Amino acid sequence: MSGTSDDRDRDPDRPPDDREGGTPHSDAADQRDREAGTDPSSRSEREPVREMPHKERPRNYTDPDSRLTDRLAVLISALVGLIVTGLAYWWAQSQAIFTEELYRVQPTVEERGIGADWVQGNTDPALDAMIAIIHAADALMGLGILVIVFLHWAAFRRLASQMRQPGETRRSDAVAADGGAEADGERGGDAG
Amino acid sequence: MTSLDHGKFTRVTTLFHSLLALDVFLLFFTGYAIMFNDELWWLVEATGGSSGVVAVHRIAGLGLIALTIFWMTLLLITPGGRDNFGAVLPGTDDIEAAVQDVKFALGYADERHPNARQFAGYKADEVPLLSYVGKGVVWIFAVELTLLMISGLLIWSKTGLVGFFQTKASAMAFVVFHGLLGIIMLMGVMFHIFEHGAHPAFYPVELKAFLPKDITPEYHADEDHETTGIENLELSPTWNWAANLLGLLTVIGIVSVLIGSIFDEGYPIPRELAVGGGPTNLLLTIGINIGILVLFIGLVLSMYGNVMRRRYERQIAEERRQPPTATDGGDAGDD
Repeated sequence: MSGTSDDRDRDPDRPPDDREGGTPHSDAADQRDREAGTDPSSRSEREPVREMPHKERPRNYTDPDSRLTDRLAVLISALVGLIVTGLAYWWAQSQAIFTEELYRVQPTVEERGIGADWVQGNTDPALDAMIAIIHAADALMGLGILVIVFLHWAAFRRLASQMRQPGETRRSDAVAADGGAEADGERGGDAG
Repeated sequence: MTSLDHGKFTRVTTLFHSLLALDVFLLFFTGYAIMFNDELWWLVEATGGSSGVVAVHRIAGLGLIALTIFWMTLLLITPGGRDNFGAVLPGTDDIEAAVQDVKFALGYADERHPNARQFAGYKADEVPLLSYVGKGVVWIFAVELTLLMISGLLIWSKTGLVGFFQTKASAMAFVVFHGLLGIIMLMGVMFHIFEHGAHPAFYPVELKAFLPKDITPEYHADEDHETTGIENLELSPTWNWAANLLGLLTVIGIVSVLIGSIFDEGYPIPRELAVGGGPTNLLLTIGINIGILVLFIGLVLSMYGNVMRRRYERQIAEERRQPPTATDGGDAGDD
Protein backbone atom coordinates (compact mmCIF):
# COMPACT_ATOMS: atom_id res chain seq x y z
CA MET A 1 0.00 0.00 0.00
CA SER A 2 2.66 2.50 1.03
CA GLY A 3 4.79 1.52 -1.98
CA THR A 4 2.01 2.38 -4.37
CA SER A 5 1.36 5.70 -2.77
CA ASP A 6 5.07 6.55 -2.86
CA ASP A 7 5.22 5.81 -6.53
CA ARG A 8 2.16 7.67 -7.55
CA ASP A 9 2.42 10.68 -5.26
CA ARG A 10 6.13 11.14 -5.30
CA ASP A 11 6.09 14.48 -3.58
CA PRO A 12 2.88 15.39 -1.90
CA ASP A 13 4.48 18.56 -0.51
CA ARG A 14 5.11 19.99 -3.94
CA PRO A 15 2.81 22.92 -4.64
CA PRO A 16 -0.06 22.17 -6.98
CA ASP A 17 1.30 24.23 -9.83
CA ASP A 18 4.51 22.21 -10.03
CA ARG A 19 2.69 19.00 -10.74
CA GLU A 20 2.01 17.86 -14.22
CA GLY A 21 -1.28 16.76 -12.86
CA GLY A 22 -1.94 14.52 -15.86
CA THR A 23 -1.70 11.00 -14.61
CA PRO A 24 -4.13 10.74 -11.72
CA HIS A 25 -6.47 13.04 -13.53
CA SER A 26 -6.72 11.06 -16.74
CA ASP A 27 -6.73 7.78 -14.78
CA ALA A 28 -9.83 8.91 -13.06
CA ALA A 29 -11.30 10.07 -16.34
CA ASP A 30 -10.60 6.71 -17.96
CA GLN A 31 -12.15 4.93 -15.03
CA ARG A 32 -15.27 7.06 -15.33
CA ASP A 33 -15.45 6.40 -19.04
CA ARG A 34 -15.17 2.68 -18.44
CA GLU A 35 -17.82 2.74 -15.79
CA ALA A 36 -20.11 4.75 -17.95
CA GLY A 37 -19.42 2.39 -20.81
CA THR A 38 -18.55 5.35 -23.05
CA ASP A 39 -16.97 4.67 -26.36
CA PRO A 40 -13.31 5.80 -26.24
CA SER A 41 -13.72 7.46 -29.65
CA SER A 42 -16.19 9.93 -28.23
CA ARG A 43 -13.79 10.92 -25.49
CA SER A 44 -12.00 13.58 -27.51
CA GLU A 45 -15.20 15.48 -27.95
CA ARG A 46 -15.97 15.46 -24.25
CA GLU A 47 -12.52 16.27 -22.93
CA PRO A 48 -12.49 20.06 -23.14
CA VAL A 49 -15.95 20.23 -21.61
CA ARG A 50 -14.87 18.09 -18.70
CA GLU A 51 -11.85 20.24 -17.83
CA MET A 52 -13.54 23.60 -18.02
CA PRO A 53 -15.00 24.01 -14.53
CA HIS A 54 -11.68 23.11 -12.85
CA LYS A 55 -9.27 24.96 -15.07
CA GLU A 56 -7.94 27.09 -12.23
CA ARG A 57 -6.41 24.24 -10.20
CA PRO A 58 -5.53 20.55 -10.68
CA ARG A 59 -8.39 18.34 -9.76
CA ASN A 60 -6.48 15.99 -7.51
CA TYR A 61 -6.57 18.69 -4.82
CA THR A 62 -10.02 19.00 -3.39
CA ASP A 63 -9.02 21.78 -1.04
CA PRO A 64 -6.62 24.30 -2.61
CA ASP A 65 -5.25 25.30 0.81
CA SER A 66 -4.39 21.75 1.83
CA ARG A 67 -1.21 19.89 1.02
CA LEU A 68 -3.07 16.57 0.90
CA THR A 69 -3.80 15.07 -2.45
CA ASP A 70 -7.12 13.28 -2.76
CA ARG A 71 -5.38 9.95 -3.19
CA LEU A 72 -3.26 10.40 -0.07
CA ALA A 73 -6.31 11.50 1.90
CA VAL A 74 -8.17 8.36 0.84
CA LEU A 75 -5.21 6.18 1.83
CA ILE A 76 -4.85 7.80 5.24
CA SER A 77 -8.58 7.54 5.90
CA ALA A 78 -8.61 3.89 4.85
CA LEU A 79 -5.66 3.15 7.14
CA VAL A 80 -7.30 4.90 10.09
CA GLY A 81 -10.53 3.04 9.38
CA LEU A 82 -8.77 -0.31 9.30
CA ILE A 83 -6.81 0.36 12.49
CA VAL A 84 -9.90 1.43 14.41
CA THR A 85 -11.81 -1.59 13.09
CA GLY A 86 -8.95 -3.84 14.17
CA LEU A 87 -8.93 -2.31 17.65
CA ALA A 88 -12.71 -2.69 17.89
CA TYR A 89 -12.42 -6.34 16.83
CA TRP A 90 -9.66 -6.96 19.38
CA TRP A 91 -11.72 -5.38 22.14
CA ALA A 92 -14.90 -7.25 21.22
CA GLN A 93 -13.00 -10.49 20.80
CA SER A 94 -11.03 -10.52 24.01
CA GLN A 95 -12.10 -7.74 26.34
CA ALA A 96 -15.86 -7.58 26.32
CA ILE A 97 -17.87 -9.59 28.83
CA PHE A 98 -20.66 -11.64 27.30
CA THR A 99 -24.03 -11.74 28.93
CA GLU A 100 -24.18 -15.46 28.24
CA GLU A 101 -21.43 -15.93 30.77
CA LEU A 102 -23.10 -13.67 33.33
CA TYR A 103 -26.46 -15.41 33.32
CA ARG A 104 -25.31 -19.02 33.29
CA VAL A 105 -26.61 -20.97 36.28
CA GLN A 106 -23.52 -21.94 38.17
CA PRO A 107 -23.19 -25.12 40.18
CA THR A 108 -24.02 -24.11 43.74
CA VAL A 109 -23.16 -27.11 45.83
CA GLU A 110 -20.03 -29.22 45.76
CA GLU A 111 -21.52 -32.63 46.47
CA ARG A 112 -25.29 -32.36 46.11
CA GLY A 113 -27.89 -29.93 44.90
CA ILE A 114 -28.12 -27.87 41.74
CA GLY A 115 -25.32 -28.73 39.39
CA ALA A 116 -24.07 -31.76 41.29
CA ASP A 117 -24.77 -33.96 38.28
CA TRP A 118 -22.93 -31.44 36.12
CA VAL A 119 -19.88 -31.64 38.36
CA GLN A 120 -19.98 -35.42 38.60
CA GLY A 121 -20.39 -35.93 34.87
CA ASN A 122 -17.74 -33.40 34.02
CA THR A 123 -15.12 -34.98 36.21
CA ASP A 124 -15.44 -38.63 35.18
CA PRO A 125 -11.86 -39.77 34.53
CA ALA A 126 -12.93 -42.38 31.93
CA LEU A 127 -14.88 -39.84 29.86
CA ASP A 128 -12.07 -37.33 30.26
CA ALA A 129 -9.55 -39.85 28.99
CA MET A 130 -11.80 -40.76 26.04
CA ILE A 131 -11.99 -37.12 24.95
CA ALA A 132 -8.26 -36.56 25.51
CA ILE A 133 -7.40 -39.60 23.38
CA ILE A 134 -9.65 -38.55 20.51
CA HIS A 135 -8.23 -35.01 20.63
CA ALA A 136 -4.73 -36.47 20.35
CA ALA A 137 -5.84 -38.72 17.48
CA ASP A 138 -7.37 -35.70 15.70
CA ALA A 139 -4.17 -33.70 16.06
CA LEU A 140 -1.91 -36.56 14.96
CA MET A 141 -4.06 -37.56 12.01
CA GLY A 142 -4.57 -33.91 11.08
CA LEU A 143 -0.84 -33.29 10.92
CA GLY A 144 -0.36 -36.53 8.98
CA ILE A 145 -3.08 -35.56 6.51
CA LEU A 146 -1.54 -32.10 6.09
CA VAL A 147 1.85 -33.70 5.34
CA ILE A 148 0.24 -35.92 2.73
CA VAL A 149 -1.63 -32.96 1.20
CA PHE A 150 1.62 -31.05 0.78
CA LEU A 151 3.33 -34.19 -0.53
CA HIS A 152 0.70 -34.61 -3.23
CA TRP A 153 0.66 -30.90 -4.00
CA ALA A 154 4.40 -31.02 -4.67
CA ALA A 155 4.16 -34.31 -6.58
CA PHE A 156 1.36 -32.91 -8.75
CA ARG A 157 3.45 -29.86 -9.58
CA ARG A 158 6.31 -32.10 -10.65
CA LEU A 159 3.97 -34.25 -12.75
CA ALA A 160 2.51 -31.11 -14.33
CA SER A 161 5.99 -29.94 -15.27
CA GLN A 162 6.52 -33.23 -17.13
CA MET A 163 3.40 -32.66 -19.22
CA ARG A 164 3.13 -30.55 -22.34
CA GLN A 165 2.44 -27.00 -21.22
CA PRO A 166 -0.77 -25.35 -22.42
CA GLY A 167 -0.16 -23.67 -25.75
CA GLU A 168 3.10 -25.49 -26.27
CA THR A 169 3.42 -26.23 -29.98
CA ARG A 170 2.58 -29.75 -30.88
CA ARG A 171 5.53 -31.81 -31.74
CA SER A 172 3.57 -33.60 -34.40
CA ASP A 173 0.61 -32.81 -36.54
CA ALA A 174 -0.88 -36.17 -35.81
CA VAL A 175 -3.21 -35.73 -32.88
CA ALA A 176 -2.45 -38.14 -30.09
CA ALA A 177 -5.73 -39.41 -28.78
CA ASP A 178 -6.14 -40.08 -25.11
CA GLY A 179 -3.60 -42.65 -24.13
CA GLY A 180 -2.52 -42.89 -27.73
CA ALA A 181 1.01 -42.58 -28.93
CA GLU A 182 2.47 -39.74 -30.90
CA ALA A 183 3.90 -40.33 -34.31
CA ASP A 184 7.23 -38.65 -33.68
CA GLY A 185 7.59 -37.50 -30.12
CA GLU A 186 10.73 -35.66 -29.26
CA ARG A 187 10.70 -36.23 -25.57
CA GLY A 188 8.80 -39.46 -25.56
CA GLY A 189 11.14 -41.17 -27.95
CA ASP A 190 10.19 -44.49 -26.46
CA ALA A 191 6.55 -43.80 -27.02
CA GLY A 192 6.33 -44.42 -30.72
CA MET B 1 -8.64 -35.30 -21.50
CA THR B 2 -7.42 -38.18 -19.53
CA SER B 3 -5.85 -41.47 -20.16
CA LEU B 4 -8.08 -44.02 -18.53
CA ASP B 5 -5.60 -46.77 -18.75
CA HIS B 6 -6.39 -49.15 -15.98
CA GLY B 7 -9.94 -49.80 -14.96
CA LYS B 8 -10.29 -50.38 -11.29
CA PHE B 9 -13.83 -50.21 -10.04
CA THR B 10 -16.64 -52.54 -10.98
CA ARG B 11 -20.04 -51.08 -11.81
CA VAL B 12 -21.31 -51.86 -8.31
CA THR B 13 -18.26 -50.23 -6.76
CA THR B 14 -18.69 -47.02 -8.75
CA LEU B 15 -22.35 -46.85 -7.75
CA PHE B 16 -21.51 -47.61 -4.12
CA HIS B 17 -18.78 -44.97 -4.12
CA SER B 18 -21.16 -42.30 -5.41
CA LEU B 19 -23.93 -43.20 -2.96
CA LEU B 20 -21.46 -43.37 -0.06
CA ALA B 21 -20.09 -39.97 -1.07
CA LEU B 22 -23.58 -38.42 -1.16
CA ASP B 23 -24.47 -39.92 2.22
CA VAL B 24 -21.19 -38.97 3.88
CA PHE B 25 -21.40 -35.42 2.52
CA LEU B 26 -24.91 -35.15 3.94
CA LEU B 27 -23.65 -36.47 7.29
CA PHE B 28 -20.80 -33.95 7.24
CA PHE B 29 -23.06 -31.04 6.35
CA THR B 30 -25.57 -31.86 9.08
CA GLY B 31 -23.11 -33.16 11.70
CA TYR B 32 -20.72 -30.25 11.49
CA ALA B 33 -23.58 -27.79 11.23
CA ILE B 34 -24.42 -29.11 14.72
CA MET B 35 -20.86 -29.22 16.08
CA PHE B 36 -19.75 -25.91 14.56
CA ASN B 37 -23.20 -24.32 14.83
CA ASP B 38 -21.66 -20.96 15.73
CA GLU B 39 -19.62 -20.86 12.54
CA LEU B 40 -22.07 -22.68 10.28
CA TRP B 41 -25.33 -21.11 11.41
CA TRP B 42 -26.49 -20.87 7.79
CA LEU B 43 -25.89 -24.57 7.28
CA VAL B 44 -28.03 -25.37 10.34
CA GLU B 45 -30.86 -23.40 8.74
CA ALA B 46 -30.23 -24.90 5.31
CA THR B 47 -30.36 -28.46 6.63
CA GLY B 48 -33.60 -28.16 8.55
CA GLY B 49 -33.05 -25.77 11.46
CA SER B 50 -32.02 -26.71 14.96
CA SER B 51 -34.41 -29.63 15.27
CA GLY B 52 -34.62 -30.71 11.63
CA VAL B 53 -30.87 -30.95 11.21
CA VAL B 54 -30.70 -33.73 13.80
CA ALA B 55 -33.43 -35.69 12.02
CA VAL B 56 -31.66 -35.37 8.67
CA HIS B 57 -28.40 -36.45 10.31
CA ARG B 58 -30.07 -39.53 11.79
CA ILE B 59 -31.72 -40.51 8.51
CA ALA B 60 -28.38 -40.13 6.71
CA GLY B 61 -26.76 -42.12 9.52
CA LEU B 62 -29.19 -44.98 8.98
CA GLY B 63 -28.38 -44.74 5.27
CA LEU B 64 -24.71 -45.09 6.12
CA ILE B 65 -25.37 -48.20 8.21
CA ALA B 66 -27.36 -49.74 5.35
CA LEU B 67 -24.63 -48.93 2.81
CA THR B 68 -21.83 -50.23 5.01
CA ILE B 69 -23.57 -53.50 5.89
CA PHE B 70 -24.42 -53.99 2.21
CA TRP B 71 -20.80 -53.51 1.26
CA MET B 72 -19.42 -55.80 3.96
CA THR B 73 -21.85 -58.55 2.96
CA LEU B 74 -20.93 -58.13 -0.69
CA LEU B 75 -17.23 -58.43 0.17
CA LEU B 76 -17.87 -61.63 2.08
CA ILE B 77 -20.19 -63.46 -0.31
CA THR B 78 -18.53 -62.72 -3.68
CA PRO B 79 -15.23 -64.26 -4.76
CA GLY B 80 -14.15 -60.92 -6.22
CA GLY B 81 -14.90 -59.27 -2.91
CA ARG B 82 -12.80 -61.77 -1.01
CA ASP B 83 -9.95 -61.25 -3.49
CA ASN B 84 -10.22 -57.52 -3.06
CA PHE B 85 -9.82 -57.93 0.67
CA GLY B 86 -6.32 -59.21 -0.02
CA ALA B 87 -5.67 -56.15 -2.16
CA VAL B 88 -6.37 -53.91 0.82
CA LEU B 89 -3.71 -55.46 3.06
CA PRO B 90 -0.71 -53.15 3.33
CA GLY B 91 2.71 -54.44 2.32
CA THR B 92 6.31 -53.30 2.26
CA ASP B 93 5.65 -51.93 -1.25
CA ASP B 94 3.35 -49.37 0.28
CA ILE B 95 5.99 -48.10 2.67
CA GLU B 96 8.44 -47.88 -0.23
CA ALA B 97 5.81 -46.02 -2.24
CA ALA B 98 5.32 -43.48 0.55
CA VAL B 99 9.08 -42.96 0.88
CA GLN B 100 9.45 -42.63 -2.89
CA ASP B 101 6.61 -40.08 -2.95
CA VAL B 102 8.61 -37.90 -0.56
CA LYS B 103 11.67 -38.30 -2.78
CA PHE B 104 9.62 -37.54 -5.89
CA ALA B 105 8.12 -34.42 -4.34
CA LEU B 106 11.61 -33.24 -3.41
CA GLY B 107 13.05 -34.07 -6.82
CA TYR B 108 15.20 -37.04 -5.79
CA ALA B 109 13.19 -39.61 -7.74
CA ASP B 110 12.14 -39.49 -11.38
CA GLU B 111 8.71 -41.02 -11.03
CA ARG B 112 6.20 -42.14 -8.44
CA HIS B 113 6.25 -45.71 -7.15
CA PRO B 114 3.68 -48.01 -8.84
CA ASN B 115 1.87 -48.26 -5.49
CA ALA B 116 1.49 -44.47 -5.44
CA ARG B 117 0.69 -43.90 -9.09
CA GLN B 118 -2.65 -42.34 -9.98
CA PHE B 119 -1.71 -41.92 -13.64
CA ALA B 120 -0.32 -45.25 -14.80
CA GLY B 121 -0.21 -44.69 -18.56
CA TYR B 122 1.88 -47.23 -20.41
CA LYS B 123 2.78 -48.88 -17.14
CA ALA B 124 -0.78 -49.73 -16.16
CA ASP B 125 0.13 -53.37 -15.65
CA GLU B 126 2.44 -52.48 -12.76
CA VAL B 127 -0.16 -50.53 -10.84
CA PRO B 128 -2.02 -52.35 -8.05
CA LEU B 129 -5.76 -51.99 -7.41
CA LEU B 130 -5.16 -49.54 -4.56
CA SER B 131 -2.38 -47.05 -3.99
CA TYR B 132 -0.84 -46.79 -0.54
CA VAL B 133 -3.08 -43.81 0.06
CA GLY B 134 -6.09 -45.78 -1.16
CA LYS B 135 -5.35 -48.58 1.29
CA GLY B 136 -4.99 -46.06 4.10
CA VAL B 137 -8.32 -44.51 3.13
CA VAL B 138 -10.07 -47.89 3.20
CA TRP B 139 -8.64 -48.82 6.62
CA ILE B 140 -9.31 -45.45 8.20
CA PHE B 141 -12.82 -45.46 6.77
CA ALA B 142 -13.45 -48.95 8.13
CA VAL B 143 -12.31 -48.12 11.67
CA GLU B 144 -13.88 -44.65 11.66
CA LEU B 145 -17.23 -45.75 10.28
CA THR B 146 -17.52 -48.59 12.79
CA LEU B 147 -16.81 -46.29 15.74
CA LEU B 148 -18.99 -43.51 14.33
CA MET B 149 -21.96 -45.83 13.81
CA ILE B 150 -21.65 -47.32 17.31
CA SER B 151 -21.22 -43.96 19.04
CA GLY B 152 -23.95 -42.48 16.85
CA LEU B 153 -26.44 -45.13 17.89
CA LEU B 154 -25.40 -44.74 21.55
CA ILE B 155 -26.07 -41.01 21.57
CA TRP B 156 -29.33 -41.44 19.66
CA SER B 157 -30.74 -43.36 22.60
CA LYS B 158 -29.02 -41.68 25.51
CA THR B 159 -30.64 -43.70 28.26
CA GLY B 160 -28.14 -46.53 28.01
CA LEU B 161 -25.20 -44.19 28.43
CA VAL B 162 -26.80 -42.18 31.19
CA GLY B 163 -27.68 -45.39 33.04
CA PHE B 164 -24.22 -46.82 32.66
CA PHE B 165 -22.33 -43.74 33.81
CA GLN B 166 -25.02 -42.62 36.29
CA THR B 167 -24.85 -39.06 34.97
CA LYS B 168 -26.54 -37.12 32.20
CA ALA B 169 -23.24 -35.49 31.32
CA SER B 170 -21.95 -38.80 29.95
CA ALA B 171 -24.29 -38.49 26.97
CA MET B 172 -22.70 -35.15 26.15
CA ALA B 173 -19.25 -36.70 26.39
CA PHE B 174 -20.23 -39.27 23.77
CA VAL B 175 -21.76 -36.62 21.52
CA VAL B 176 -18.43 -34.77 21.67
CA PHE B 177 -16.51 -38.00 21.07
CA HIS B 178 -18.67 -38.72 18.02
CA GLY B 179 -17.99 -35.26 16.58
CA LEU B 180 -14.27 -35.35 17.29
CA LEU B 181 -14.00 -38.79 15.70
CA GLY B 182 -15.61 -37.54 12.52
CA ILE B 183 -13.04 -34.73 12.32
CA ILE B 184 -10.44 -37.27 11.18
CA MET B 185 -12.71 -38.36 8.36
CA LEU B 186 -13.63 -34.78 7.53
CA MET B 187 -9.95 -33.88 7.13
CA GLY B 188 -9.30 -37.08 5.21
CA VAL B 189 -12.15 -36.44 2.78
CA MET B 190 -10.85 -32.92 2.12
CA PHE B 191 -7.50 -34.46 1.18
CA HIS B 192 -9.30 -37.07 -0.92
CA ILE B 193 -11.03 -34.29 -2.88
CA PHE B 194 -7.70 -32.56 -3.49
CA GLU B 195 -5.94 -35.82 -4.37
CA HIS B 196 -8.46 -36.82 -7.04
CA GLY B 197 -9.47 -33.36 -8.20
CA ALA B 198 -6.09 -31.68 -8.65
CA HIS B 199 -4.01 -34.38 -10.35
CA PRO B 200 -2.69 -32.63 -13.47
CA ALA B 201 -3.42 -35.59 -15.76
CA PHE B 202 -6.98 -36.00 -14.53
CA TYR B 203 -8.01 -32.45 -13.54
CA PRO B 204 -10.79 -31.57 -12.76
CA VAL B 205 -11.74 -35.06 -11.58
CA GLU B 206 -10.17 -38.49 -11.75
CA LEU B 207 -12.71 -40.69 -13.50
CA LYS B 208 -11.53 -44.10 -12.29
CA ALA B 209 -14.08 -44.09 -9.51
CA PHE B 210 -16.92 -43.23 -11.89
CA LEU B 211 -16.22 -45.24 -15.03
CA PRO B 212 -16.88 -48.94 -14.45
CA LYS B 213 -14.17 -51.39 -15.43
CA ASP B 214 -16.17 -52.82 -18.33
CA ILE B 215 -16.30 -49.59 -20.32
CA THR B 216 -12.89 -48.21 -19.35
CA PRO B 217 -10.66 -47.98 -22.42
CA GLU B 218 -7.50 -49.99 -22.10
CA TYR B 219 -4.13 -49.68 -23.65
CA HIS B 220 -2.11 -52.84 -24.03
CA ALA B 221 1.54 -52.16 -24.58
CA ASP B 222 3.37 -54.43 -26.98
CA GLU B 223 6.68 -53.27 -25.66
CA ASP B 224 8.20 -51.89 -22.52
CA HIS B 225 8.02 -48.16 -22.14
CA GLU B 226 10.49 -46.19 -20.08
CA THR B 227 7.94 -43.62 -18.97
CA THR B 228 4.27 -43.64 -18.15
CA GLY B 229 3.73 -41.42 -21.18
CA ILE B 230 2.53 -38.46 -19.13
CA GLU B 231 4.72 -36.20 -21.27
CA ASN B 232 2.29 -36.78 -24.15
CA LEU B 233 -0.61 -35.20 -22.28
CA GLU B 234 -1.27 -31.48 -22.44
CA LEU B 235 -1.73 -29.64 -19.18
CA SER B 236 -5.01 -27.78 -18.83
CA PRO B 237 -4.51 -23.99 -18.98
CA THR B 238 -6.49 -23.55 -15.77
CA TRP B 239 -4.77 -26.32 -13.82
CA ASN B 240 -2.08 -24.16 -12.25
CA TRP B 241 -4.28 -21.67 -10.42
CA ALA B 242 -7.10 -24.14 -9.85
CA ALA B 243 -4.84 -26.74 -8.22
CA ASN B 244 -3.10 -24.11 -6.12
CA LEU B 245 -6.43 -22.64 -5.04
CA LEU B 246 -7.89 -26.04 -4.16
CA GLY B 247 -4.68 -26.92 -2.29
CA LEU B 248 -4.86 -23.67 -0.34
CA LEU B 249 -8.56 -24.13 0.48
CA THR B 250 -7.90 -27.73 1.54
CA VAL B 251 -5.08 -26.74 3.87
CA ILE B 252 -7.09 -23.86 5.38
CA GLY B 253 -10.09 -26.16 5.78
CA ILE B 254 -8.12 -28.92 7.48
CA VAL B 255 -6.30 -26.55 9.83
CA SER B 256 -9.53 -24.72 10.68
CA VAL B 257 -11.64 -27.76 11.53
CA LEU B 258 -8.73 -29.14 13.54
CA ILE B 259 -8.41 -25.93 15.56
CA GLY B 260 -12.19 -25.62 15.74
CA SER B 261 -12.45 -29.14 17.14
CA ILE B 262 -10.16 -28.14 19.99
CA PHE B 263 -12.00 -24.90 20.82
CA ASP B 264 -15.55 -25.86 19.94
CA GLU B 265 -15.67 -29.00 22.03
CA GLY B 266 -18.54 -29.58 24.42
CA TYR B 267 -16.93 -31.75 27.07
CA PRO B 268 -16.22 -31.03 29.86
CA ILE B 269 -19.55 -29.22 29.54
CA PRO B 270 -18.67 -25.53 29.76
CA ARG B 271 -20.19 -23.09 32.21
CA GLU B 272 -20.84 -20.60 29.41
CA LEU B 273 -23.77 -20.93 27.09
CA ALA B 274 -21.68 -19.67 24.17
CA VAL B 275 -19.23 -22.48 23.59
CA GLY B 276 -15.83 -22.05 22.05
CA GLY B 277 -14.79 -19.57 19.40
CA GLY B 278 -18.14 -19.06 17.80
CA PRO B 279 -19.11 -16.08 15.74
CA THR B 280 -16.80 -13.92 17.82
CA ASN B 281 -13.81 -15.68 16.31
CA LEU B 282 -13.88 -14.42 12.75
CA LEU B 283 -10.84 -16.22 11.41
CA LEU B 284 -12.11 -19.58 12.63
CA THR B 285 -15.55 -18.84 11.22
CA ILE B 286 -14.08 -18.07 7.79
CA GLY B 287 -11.73 -21.07 7.93
CA ILE B 288 -14.41 -23.59 8.87
CA ASN B 289 -16.67 -22.24 6.14
CA ILE B 290 -13.81 -22.70 3.69
CA GLY B 291 -13.62 -26.33 4.85
CA ILE B 292 -17.31 -26.74 4.06
CA LEU B 293 -16.69 -25.09 0.68
CA VAL B 294 -14.08 -27.77 -0.07
CA LEU B 295 -16.73 -30.41 0.69
CA PHE B 296 -19.16 -28.68 -1.67
CA ILE B 297 -16.48 -28.72 -4.37
CA GLY B 298 -16.11 -32.45 -3.73
CA LEU B 299 -19.85 -32.94 -4.03
CA VAL B 300 -19.89 -31.05 -7.34
CA LEU B 301 -16.91 -33.03 -8.65
CA SER B 302 -18.63 -36.28 -7.67
CA MET B 303 -21.70 -35.23 -9.65
CA TYR B 304 -19.51 -34.10 -12.54
CA GLY B 305 -17.82 -37.50 -12.55
CA ASN B 306 -21.21 -39.14 -12.96
CA VAL B 307 -22.19 -36.70 -15.73
CA MET B 308 -18.96 -37.61 -17.53
CA ARG B 309 -19.74 -41.32 -17.10
CA ARG B 310 -23.21 -40.85 -18.53
CA ARG B 311 -21.85 -38.92 -21.51
CA TYR B 312 -19.19 -41.53 -22.13
CA GLU B 313 -21.70 -44.39 -21.95
CA ARG B 314 -23.86 -42.62 -24.50
CA GLN B 315 -20.85 -42.05 -26.75
CA ILE B 316 -19.95 -45.73 -26.59
CA ALA B 317 -23.51 -46.74 -27.38
CA GLU B 318 -23.51 -44.48 -30.44
CA GLU B 319 -20.17 -45.81 -31.62
CA ARG B 320 -21.50 -49.35 -31.38
CA ARG B 321 -24.49 -48.43 -33.53
CA GLN B 322 -22.32 -46.88 -36.23
CA PRO B 323 -19.91 -48.80 -38.50
CA PRO B 324 -16.47 -49.10 -36.92
CA THR B 325 -14.24 -46.13 -37.64
CA ALA B 326 -11.22 -44.89 -35.77
CA THR B 327 -12.33 -44.62 -32.18
CA ASP B 328 -10.85 -42.94 -29.18
CA GLY B 329 -7.71 -44.62 -28.13
CA GLY B 330 -6.95 -45.49 -31.74
CA ASP B 331 -3.50 -44.84 -33.01
CA ALA B 332 -2.77 -41.37 -34.27
CA GLY B 333 0.33 -42.29 -36.18
CA ASP B 334 2.21 -45.52 -36.08
CA ASP B 335 2.77 -47.73 -33.11
